[in-house]
Amino acid sequence: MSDDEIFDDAWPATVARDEMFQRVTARGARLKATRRAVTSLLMVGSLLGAGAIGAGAIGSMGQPSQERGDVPELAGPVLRGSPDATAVPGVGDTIVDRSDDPTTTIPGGGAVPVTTSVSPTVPTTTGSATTVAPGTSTPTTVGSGTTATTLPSTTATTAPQGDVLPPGSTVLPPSIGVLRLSADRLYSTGSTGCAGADTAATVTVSIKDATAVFLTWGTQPGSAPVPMTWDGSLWQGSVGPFPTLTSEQPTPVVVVVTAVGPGGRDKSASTVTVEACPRGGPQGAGGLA
Amino acid sequence: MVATTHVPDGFNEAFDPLFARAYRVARRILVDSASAEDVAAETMARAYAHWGKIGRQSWREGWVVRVASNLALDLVRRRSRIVDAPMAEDSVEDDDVAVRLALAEALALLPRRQREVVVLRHLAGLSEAEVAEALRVSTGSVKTHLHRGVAALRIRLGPIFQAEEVRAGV
Repeated sequence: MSDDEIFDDAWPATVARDEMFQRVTARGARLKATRRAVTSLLMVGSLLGAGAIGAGAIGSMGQPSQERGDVPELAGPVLRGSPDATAVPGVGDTIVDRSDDPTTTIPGGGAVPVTTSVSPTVPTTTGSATTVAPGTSTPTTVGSGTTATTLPSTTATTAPQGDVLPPGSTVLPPSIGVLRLSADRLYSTGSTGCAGADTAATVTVSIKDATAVFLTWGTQPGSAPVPMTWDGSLWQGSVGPFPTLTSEQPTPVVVVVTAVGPGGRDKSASTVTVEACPRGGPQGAGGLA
Repeated sequence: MVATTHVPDGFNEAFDPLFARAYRVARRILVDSASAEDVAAETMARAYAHWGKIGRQSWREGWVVRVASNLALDLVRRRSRIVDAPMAEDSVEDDDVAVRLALAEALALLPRRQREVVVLRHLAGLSEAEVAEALRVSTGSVKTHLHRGVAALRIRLGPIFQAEEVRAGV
């Protein structure tokens, strides 16, 4: 064949031009689709850091069919280091683009080493539920993918006064029982002739989940909070004495117990009557005058 | 149902001359016309797949020639491993085939760039400037690779290469 023949553009093949054109375009379309698939797989693999290429994708490439008039044994990537071109790529194999196409999209000169084996199985999660501490991150399996789910930072109520609660514990506010006063009628200290009469009363109350309890009573002006003490079974404190009342009439005074605990605070109230000492002495006091 | 394939712009018009060029280059390497036809078909299929990138390029013909020559050399190499066909003695045609096969094998052993330059220059008949454009390298680089490639072929082929030199004008 001379150089002149090389540049002869006359149709040279024995197969008719149109028939060859159809074969070429059909084969070209398949190559194009394969190239796109390989590119996508390589991109996914590079994102996963493992070059996750499935056996089907490799095995389907470069296997022209004689029945359709394809060129045999020419196209397609192969696995170097593996005797079987349809094998699943493993660690140590190299995926090679045998195409001499200078526009190949496979990086690294057309050879991609497989550094990590990829299992095609989908991980499944079984077993009972797991308790996770607040603020931790735990993987949640959804279908074939894995998504990290972060729990809310905290689900517990913050305890007052810097108390630290164990994770998962439930803290309730204090619960105050019925207030009991040692006397329901008191006499003001400004009155005379009432020696020995009750000028103060002891308040006892049962309170749950309290770390501190205060007692206040409402006169004009109101009292400052008085700490109650824990006697081993009850909280107790003292109400009074009351100064001279502006009114000669018995005056109801509201006594308030405030309990503070890790779960919050609670209040409960009762009343006590304060009155000036009568001239004839307090009723039932034995005629102290 | 008839499947229709969308043919990219310009491919149909360029098909005949490019196929002919690919065929003739492959024929020079393979001798066998049927194999050359297959190689040309595969070359054009790849051109179709990459037509979006090469269709409007001035070096598309060089691209086609390069792919065709590489495919042909690959085929020769594969055949030489598998088939050890007996040849009739004193047959001029078989001698020619033997020379072609030896040349193809020697070409296949060359470094890629040297092989491409030698094939494009001496088997495809492109000028040095055309080879440079096809490979997108300088003409100086073409000359260097050509010199080294031919020197390597002379060493490997010996007397066979002398005859081929005369034939191909190397």
